[in-house]
Amino acid sequence: MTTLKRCGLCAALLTLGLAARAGLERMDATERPPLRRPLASLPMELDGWAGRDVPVPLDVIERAQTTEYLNREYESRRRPGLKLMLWINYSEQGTNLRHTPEICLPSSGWTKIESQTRELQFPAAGGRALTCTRLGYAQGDLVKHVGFWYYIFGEGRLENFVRRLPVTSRSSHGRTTRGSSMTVEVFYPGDVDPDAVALGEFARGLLAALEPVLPPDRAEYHVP
Amino acid sequence: MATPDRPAPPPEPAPAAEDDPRLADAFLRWVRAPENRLTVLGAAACTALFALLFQESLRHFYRAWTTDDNYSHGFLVPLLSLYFAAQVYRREGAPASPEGRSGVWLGGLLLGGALLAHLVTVPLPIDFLGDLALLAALVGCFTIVAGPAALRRYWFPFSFLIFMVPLPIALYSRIASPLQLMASRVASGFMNATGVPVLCEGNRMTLPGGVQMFVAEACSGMRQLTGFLALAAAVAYLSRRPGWYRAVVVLSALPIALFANTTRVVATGYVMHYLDPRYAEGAYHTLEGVLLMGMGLLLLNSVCMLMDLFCAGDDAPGPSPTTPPTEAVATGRPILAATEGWPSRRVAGALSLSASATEELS
Repeated sequence: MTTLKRCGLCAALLTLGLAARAGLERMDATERPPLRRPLASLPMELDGWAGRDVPVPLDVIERAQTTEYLNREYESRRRPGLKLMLWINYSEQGTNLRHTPEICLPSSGWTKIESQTRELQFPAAGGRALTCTRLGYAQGDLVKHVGFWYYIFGEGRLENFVRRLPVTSRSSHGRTTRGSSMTVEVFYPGDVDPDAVALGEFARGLLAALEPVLPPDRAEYHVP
Repeated sequence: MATPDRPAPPPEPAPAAEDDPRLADAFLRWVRAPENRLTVLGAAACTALFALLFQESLRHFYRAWTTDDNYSHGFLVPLLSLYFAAQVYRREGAPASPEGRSGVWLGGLLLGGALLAHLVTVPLPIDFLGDLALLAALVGCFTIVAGPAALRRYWFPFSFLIFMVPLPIALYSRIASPLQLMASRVASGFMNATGVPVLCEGNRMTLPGGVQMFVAEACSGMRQLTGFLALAAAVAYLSRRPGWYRAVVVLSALPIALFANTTRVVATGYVMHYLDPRYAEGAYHTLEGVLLMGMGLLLLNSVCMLMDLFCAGDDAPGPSPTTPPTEAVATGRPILAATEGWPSRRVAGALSLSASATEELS
């Protein structure tokens, strides 16, 4: 077989690959949906919670690889003095998913308290329930709790199915997302809300306020 | 033309390609030959199709190499691979043209498998799988066109390309996070033992006076690890030593990289404690990294020298067709001799990154 024929065979196989790829892409078209409204449009007043924006250092924004973010402190009106810190990170390329508390907090010297980690469910739009992971971390005598969940927008059923498998259901798969994504983290001192009652109240208000912001084509995840 | 009153000009030197065949020259000659016009067009079409098919992976490489400090060495890897291929060509010349359908089945199988893996990444965007598919497809195309004998000859330049592939983030984090914590713990333990009390909380170290030092992910040692592994693989390949020697060279990259990294963390801690925390940032910190990289190279060199003591008898340089045996003695150690046309099948002495080696590699 001459080199020319070999090149022809090679080109034929590659062309076949290109055609198959084009067909598959057509069947599995994915876009990276933007948020329907800016995150800043989230109300400062959430059912019993009063918020204020907290500036974020530039280097944190850079490292978070964020397209849009929100960093607010909400104080409970029912229980004055009870404050929750809300960090929302939307990324068009899905790269922010890497910033899971399971990686960030241990890196800052916090040790995970397995016994305080639990899954919680909050009512969300359409009568469904959103599952959130509440993680507990300790540093010396300090204990911090983090409510965590995230969304991936625009991916297909197959991606969603595979992502839910134990081997892939980690939010640190940031760069492999085909859609856009958003993480929600709620930080607070563990001793002010050991049973996650306040977190539940806050999450209910937050989910209702988030609904007009989130693209409808989304999947929800909670395993960090 | 020579005439009686005009002495004949000295004979023109033989074309360099014959004495010292160069891959680039051979490639240009092949491209320019009129009889190869159609084949060149076919090869160009293959290249264009390949780039079109794997454009996402190529973009992923570019993005990783330009934005991720852990893979900023990525641009060098294909260049080094080309260099290795050129060395193989210089040493062994052009491979014989494949006969019959030799290589078509093997290459087709490789390319077909690579295409399937690539197609899987359409619905399941796993960059790592796509990157590996690109490498496999490259090997497949090469095997189809050049045959299995050429693949056997050029296996290392292709294998070396693995060092340009970014690890999946989940896998990277799983390796880097424990390394990061280990570097923090070992460094704080060492500093405590040497009279600098350090409180280590995760990756945050508190030095006397409340000075905070954070061991970032970049200080996990992964960056050194990937760099040293690539370097050690190249050294092992060029050393022309026995298999065990090469394996030890490659494996030694792991402890050396981790040791160099931990030393860097300790050095940063000392700088912050004894000098000024400002000297542990920015350009100073980068300089520290460069110096510690140098220390790593010295350690790798020392490992090679140590092993040379054990394998000196195994591979005493034999007579070479082009180099007198005395040359090895006269020049000391033609380290990485393989890079200079491999006059001998073995390195004629200890393998180390001495000046001559640096010249070769530069």
